[in-house]
Amino acid sequence: MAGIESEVLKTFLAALTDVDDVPPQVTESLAALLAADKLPKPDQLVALYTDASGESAL
Amino acid sequence: MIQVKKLRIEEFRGVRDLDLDMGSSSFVVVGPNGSGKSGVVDAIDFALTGNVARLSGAGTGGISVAKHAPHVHQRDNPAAASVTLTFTHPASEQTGTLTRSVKTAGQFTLEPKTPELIAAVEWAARHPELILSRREVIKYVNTEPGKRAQEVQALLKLDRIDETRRLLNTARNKTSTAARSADDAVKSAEDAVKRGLDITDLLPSEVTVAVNKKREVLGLEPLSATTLETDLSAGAKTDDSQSTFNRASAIRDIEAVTSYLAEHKDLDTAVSDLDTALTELEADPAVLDALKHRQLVVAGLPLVINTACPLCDLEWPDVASLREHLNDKLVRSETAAKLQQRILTAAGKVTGQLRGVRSLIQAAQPHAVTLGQSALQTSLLYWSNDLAAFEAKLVTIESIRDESERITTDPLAAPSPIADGLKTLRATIEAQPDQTATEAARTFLAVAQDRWTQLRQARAKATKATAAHKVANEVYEKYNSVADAALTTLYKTVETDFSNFYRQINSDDESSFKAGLSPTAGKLDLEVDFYGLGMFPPMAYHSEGHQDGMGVCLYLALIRQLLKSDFRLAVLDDVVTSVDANHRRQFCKLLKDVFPDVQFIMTTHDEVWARQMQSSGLIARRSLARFHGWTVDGGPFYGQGVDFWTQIKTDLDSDDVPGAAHKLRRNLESSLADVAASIQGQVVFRADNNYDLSSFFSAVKGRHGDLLKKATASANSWNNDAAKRKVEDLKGERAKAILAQDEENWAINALVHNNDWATMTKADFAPVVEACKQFLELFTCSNDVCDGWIYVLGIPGKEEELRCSCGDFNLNLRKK
Repeated sequence: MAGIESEVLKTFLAALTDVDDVPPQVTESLAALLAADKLPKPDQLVALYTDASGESAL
Repeated sequence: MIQVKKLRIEEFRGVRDLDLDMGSSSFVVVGPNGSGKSGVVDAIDFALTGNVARLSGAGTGGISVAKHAPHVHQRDNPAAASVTLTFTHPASEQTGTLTRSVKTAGQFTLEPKTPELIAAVEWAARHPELILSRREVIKYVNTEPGKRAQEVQALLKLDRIDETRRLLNTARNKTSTAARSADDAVKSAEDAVKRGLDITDLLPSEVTVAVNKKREVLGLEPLSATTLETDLSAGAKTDDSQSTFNRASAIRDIEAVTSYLAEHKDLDTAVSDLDTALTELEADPAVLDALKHRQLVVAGLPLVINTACPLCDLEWPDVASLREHLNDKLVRSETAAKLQQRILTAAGKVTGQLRGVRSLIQAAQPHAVTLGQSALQTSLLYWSNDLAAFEAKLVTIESIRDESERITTDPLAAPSPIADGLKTLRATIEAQPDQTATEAARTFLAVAQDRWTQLRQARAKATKATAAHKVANEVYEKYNSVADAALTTLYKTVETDFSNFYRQINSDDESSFKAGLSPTAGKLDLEVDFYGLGMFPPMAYHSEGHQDGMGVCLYLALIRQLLKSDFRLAVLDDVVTSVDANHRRQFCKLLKDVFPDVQFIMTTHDEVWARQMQSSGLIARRSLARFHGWTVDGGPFYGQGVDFWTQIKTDLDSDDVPGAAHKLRRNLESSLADVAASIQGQVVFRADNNYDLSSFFSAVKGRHGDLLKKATASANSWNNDAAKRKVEDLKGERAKAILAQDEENWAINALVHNNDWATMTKADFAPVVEACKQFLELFTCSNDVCDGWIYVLGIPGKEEELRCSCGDFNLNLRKK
């Protein structure tokens, strides 16, 4: 990944850790997914957000 | 990061067999047009990337590396064409040798294969922007804002930022849709509970009262309160009573579907909104067309540079009319974009209603099963599936328009047997014998608990979906704010660097130059100051030479931001051709002062420009390869590190006095002009710029003498004996050189005023050459590595030092 994009991603991930509503596992997974050569599908992110959010459905 | 140490080219482009020793330092390849210089650039490009930019991209149809990179005599033998590049990796201080053959361009061999060197080669392959031709330089300046944004974005490799932004936004929209859908499911589950308990408001107190009435019938403990976790039917289940059919509740379920079929105001309102928006869309074909072509117009407007429409080639009377026409289209499409949003919102409401109907069907269907109404059960199932399929179509403008007839006529499209079937089912239920009070209470609680559980699950799912949407929103907003801040800072830094670089090159006439780089909605506007008269596009008033200078400066500013400390190599192919000699001198200084760690490999057809690179200290004596006499069969003749004195000697050795005379005159003109500029010698101004050699000789001779006098005065004032001796030695050398030159003055004058040198004999001419050489040595650093001209630091009247770029030659001119 080019320097500028890499810096943006790094700053973004660091800033995300300060956002209360974003669970830490989302930040960790985004770090891997957004740094990969191929970006993930939107549904992968939706699943990530959903899995990490709130109580699981009963 | 990577720097080129040696280059070996075999049977590649116009080169048959060539070795250059670049020593990981800046290097220049000089030669006339068609001498094979660009073959060196192509070879470096190929070695590093496996591609040759010149043979790919726009306007190169039918040309390929595989077919056209080998020398024309080896066009059927790509295995013979290869480039071997020995490079250094400054960070690890390792040296590697990379070889690539045209036959297997995608592969390379590397020795040694250390992780650092492999990474360095892979890094270089991802950075073809290290190699730059004039065509590429000018595209950053002389282009429209939309195209510039694309070029700059591609150079800075910012595409990924936009892709990531789009990805996060799409994910956010999907979570928004999921959250809305989950909310609808909660509403349906709440309705089902209300029907089951026969209450109008889903208040905990109402639930408790309704449930306790039935518990009392069964003799069960009343509930003190109810939450979603409460088991409403606790204690009501018995081993022999499995049925959950509750007659009253079933009637209410059937009634709900029947009533909805008879009257559905919310659906009607949503359909009406959707119909109105669709009618507006269909009523104005121009708006519909604008919506379809909105993206095209957004891309096309910045491309308007003349009277031909960039989208359809139609000629317009003038550019302003064409722009106005496209802007009108854009305004219409903005209206259409808002209408699109209205349509999608209304469709979302319709979808929500349909989801509710499916929920009602889902509640009614089991009763048809229980009472053996299989035909109705099949119809209900079919209807439910049909509604789900219809909902799925209400997501895009195109598919919504396709469904417009059903939307406006009968969105529910209930199969014809449904209404009668429901009536029959209700009658059948009503005809059932009354349940005992105990059975009615038990099944009431069973149905209530079942729906209570579904409500709990729906709410949990909705909570989760809402939280997921909140996360998606926070993630998207945070990425946007970080990316926007980074890009704003980036472009500001590029703008500042670009302005500084350009000012440095044009300090004589544009010392207050400034540039404005404004990124807006996919465009990158560039405006530059024109002599304090305002900000204009670069091509508005600046000359081609100035635009060339801007292109290089903008490239350097951009690539400095892209690569930061990894910027250690740039290959510049004839990039400042139209910049005049004085500004090139400043360009050398810029490269040398601002990018001291970068290896610049440059090609030029201009011998004077190459000499300026040497004299400024940008490149060393040996870092010059001179190409000439290219032939198809032999490729270029070349010599590396051969200065013009050696060339003159070669001419004299072969009795070519005219050739030697021409070279001497040409190089004296450029060298003495350089020296005069370096030591601030005064030459009488000529409006036609045709200075003769005598003016330069006189100017540099006089100024040199004055500077040595100042150096003596300085050494005396500081009582510095070493400096005094040094100045005396230099005065001695000067005296000898001046004497030798004066002795040959008759011949020099002959050259100055006419071209009589060309008719001299070798015996007459050789001393002239020697005298000139001695004279120029007075102004040259004796350190072979430096070999640059000496120059004055400070302004006339306030001179500080007379020195060379390496510092070996250094005289203090300041007095105590």
